[in-house]
Amino acid sequence: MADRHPQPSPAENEEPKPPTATDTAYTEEEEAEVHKRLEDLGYVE
Amino acid sequence: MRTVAVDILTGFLGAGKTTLLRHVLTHGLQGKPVAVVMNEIGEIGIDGKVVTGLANVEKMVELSSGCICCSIDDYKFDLAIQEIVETAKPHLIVIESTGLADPEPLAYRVKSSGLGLDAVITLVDAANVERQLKETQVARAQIEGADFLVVNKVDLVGEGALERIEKRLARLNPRAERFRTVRGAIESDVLFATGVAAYRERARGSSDHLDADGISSFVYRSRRPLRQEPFERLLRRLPSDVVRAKGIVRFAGRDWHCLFNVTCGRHELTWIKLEGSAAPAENQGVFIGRALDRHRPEIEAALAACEAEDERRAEHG
Repeated sequence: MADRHPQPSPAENEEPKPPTATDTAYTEEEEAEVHKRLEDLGYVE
Repeated sequence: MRTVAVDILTGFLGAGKTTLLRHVLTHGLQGKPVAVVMNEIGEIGIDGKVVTGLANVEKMVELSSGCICCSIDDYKFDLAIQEIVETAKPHLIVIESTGLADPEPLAYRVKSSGLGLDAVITLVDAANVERQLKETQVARAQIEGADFLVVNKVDLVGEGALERIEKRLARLNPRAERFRTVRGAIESDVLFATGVAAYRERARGSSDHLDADGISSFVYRSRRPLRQEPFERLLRRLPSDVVRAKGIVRFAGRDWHCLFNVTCGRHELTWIKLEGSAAPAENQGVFIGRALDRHRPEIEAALAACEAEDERRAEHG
């Protein structure tokens, strides 16, 4: 019979970890490139 | 891909599209890296040779043997765009269509390929537009699909005829902003995506700076996240004097930033994940248009009303 109240898995109990450098979408060089593009297109200054 | 803007340059055969493009590539676009996609129906591209080699043209791609709006397939189009983005890394792609292209399907194709559509610019041949409208459907579609209508060759018609033409254009497309030119020599920065940064710069120098084309700008900044629904409503209801509005904001309850772009009453939101130095600490926007000294207080008040009181309340409210 299936357990109607399953224990949460260890993964669900864990606190989310803060993002690390390897989790970020861009490298520093790419960040600078994206910022430059947004600047050139008038989105930011 | 989201940080590449696309401007579509269209207009009937002989309207002066390539002449205008050559002018703006030589004198404008703020020296930013630009790629040009030129679509010609014949096997041998003539117009492409006119813009190849100009200083800020990073890449020139000719799509020949078919019309970009109907007979060049999605695969070929996407491949050309992908090659441009990867090899030239442009900030702006200008697509010059054939003189017989309908800009609507092309605009749809651009958006489907994941690029941001900045503006549809239609060149109108003042000397021949009446006849073109009488004889073809596509001339009408090009006018109706435009964000900006550039009435070219105004030196070839009298003032009375020009006023008649402009009245007709306004009836066909009341949303579009109109300009007059001779030989494509347009001096406004407002047409192409890369010109917006110039208005932002001018707005910083003087709040009531007015350009020769009667267009001015102001900058908006705030640190609080915004509520998406009222912000989108604000964009839809901007006064018609606002020709462009552009910026980056963060909405309450959202991790990704939102790039907003309003061009002559048509607005688009695109999402971008920004981290580190690429992520601005505040909402930023620039509003460009006519009579902004009159409209500014109302727009700023509406923007302030979009600010979320606190993020948690906005998420659950």
